[in-house]
Amino acid sequence: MINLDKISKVFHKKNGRVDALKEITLHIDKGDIFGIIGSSGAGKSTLIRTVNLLERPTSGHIFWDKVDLAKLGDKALIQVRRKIGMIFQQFNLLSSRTVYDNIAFPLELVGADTEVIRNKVERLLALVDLLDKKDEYPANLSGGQKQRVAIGRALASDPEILLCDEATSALDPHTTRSILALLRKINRELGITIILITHEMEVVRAICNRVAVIAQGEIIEQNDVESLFLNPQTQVTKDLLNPSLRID
Amino acid sequence: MSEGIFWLLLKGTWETIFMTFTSGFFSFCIGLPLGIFLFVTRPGQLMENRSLYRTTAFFVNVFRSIPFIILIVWMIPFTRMLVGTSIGMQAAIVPLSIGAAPFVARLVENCLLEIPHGLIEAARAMGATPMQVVRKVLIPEALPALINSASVTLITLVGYSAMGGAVGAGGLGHIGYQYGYVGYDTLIMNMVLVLLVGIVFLIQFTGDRLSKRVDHRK
Repeated sequence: MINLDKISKVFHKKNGRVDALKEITLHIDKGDIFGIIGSSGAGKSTLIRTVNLLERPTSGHIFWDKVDLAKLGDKALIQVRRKIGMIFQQFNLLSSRTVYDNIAFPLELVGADTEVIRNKVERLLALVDLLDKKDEYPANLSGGQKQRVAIGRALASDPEILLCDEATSALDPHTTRSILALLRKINRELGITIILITHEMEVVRAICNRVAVIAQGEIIEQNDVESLFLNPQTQVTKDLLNPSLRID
Repeated sequence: MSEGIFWLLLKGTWETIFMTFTSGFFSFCIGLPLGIFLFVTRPGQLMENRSLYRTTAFFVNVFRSIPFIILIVWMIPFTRMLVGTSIGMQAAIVPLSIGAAPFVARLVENCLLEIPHGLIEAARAMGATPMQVVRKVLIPEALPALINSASVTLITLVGYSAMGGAVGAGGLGHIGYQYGYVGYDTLIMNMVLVLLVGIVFLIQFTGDRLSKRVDHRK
């Protein structure tokens, strides 16, 4: 479904050239929950941002079926982005809008009429279990509730793909579990392909079916989740599998 | 206090308020789009354009450096072209608006810089056009700060409008100057000051209330 073909990204900073991504090639199938794991600074945030072109790759192609997204102009790109939902570590809800209006936002962007918006938003509120909070402002919600709103908002435009940028990293383990359960439900019941990045192996273990390990801008290993856990090939993966906080 | 003085002060108060709010309105008409333009063309923003940003920022800085009393005189030909005269309240509104506009632009730019960048990124990810980002994200999210900026601008304009006296614009500042500095009438001078302080407090109070009402961040 999504094919990343030799994606490279170079940043030019004051202290010289930084190769954030080096010729990354990945294949994501329809219906996958595809995990990309790596430690901070490995390039995973940059990588997930290239999928919807928030970050333009310096070279390489992003194929969605037969279309190369990297070649699309701004107008066409806007249409594609409406089919790719995204959620973030910091939730990024609009503080000036209620829960209801946040979820309605993507529908307003396409000029949907009020009746359509109301039906859709009510359905999504039920899906993310926030019917009783619909008139609250984000400031009055817990982290888990905020992420649920963000998920509802991401689903409002009926996306085929959902990008999760460290979506559970700001949440406690209990809340993380409920958000992951919701993501799996979305994947199974709505058939939405999920690409998620994380630094926590537990997240991958909980919901992913395939996983790629990224280190210093390169994919050093990819496999189905079970095989990766049973038979890690690299030291980086072994370290990620054993995240003990013991200091030697 | 004689009835004459009462009417004089009432008229002066009205003139000051009229000048302040009219020029405040026009300075926002120019300054708000200009500030948004400065923000979106900044490096790393929606419509990043280094040379456009630098050029606009340059002119904004130039206009902000001209002392207001000189701006009034310097702009006389333009003022005359626009409103047909260079004397009176209408004539003062022109340099007041132009003088405050770059100030407003910078305030607006700063308000927008306070918005977490993630919100803009999220909107882009949802397929918002740049215009939709401005209308549905930038302005509503910055609204509490924008209202505070409006209070600051209006209060600055109360002070500036006193200088409008130089082109016969009237207002409290003019009365204070005429009766206070020239005639040394302490009573009138002090009453003018009290009225000016009252106007400033009222603007600040209303601004704070409004800003709080639209702020849902806590």
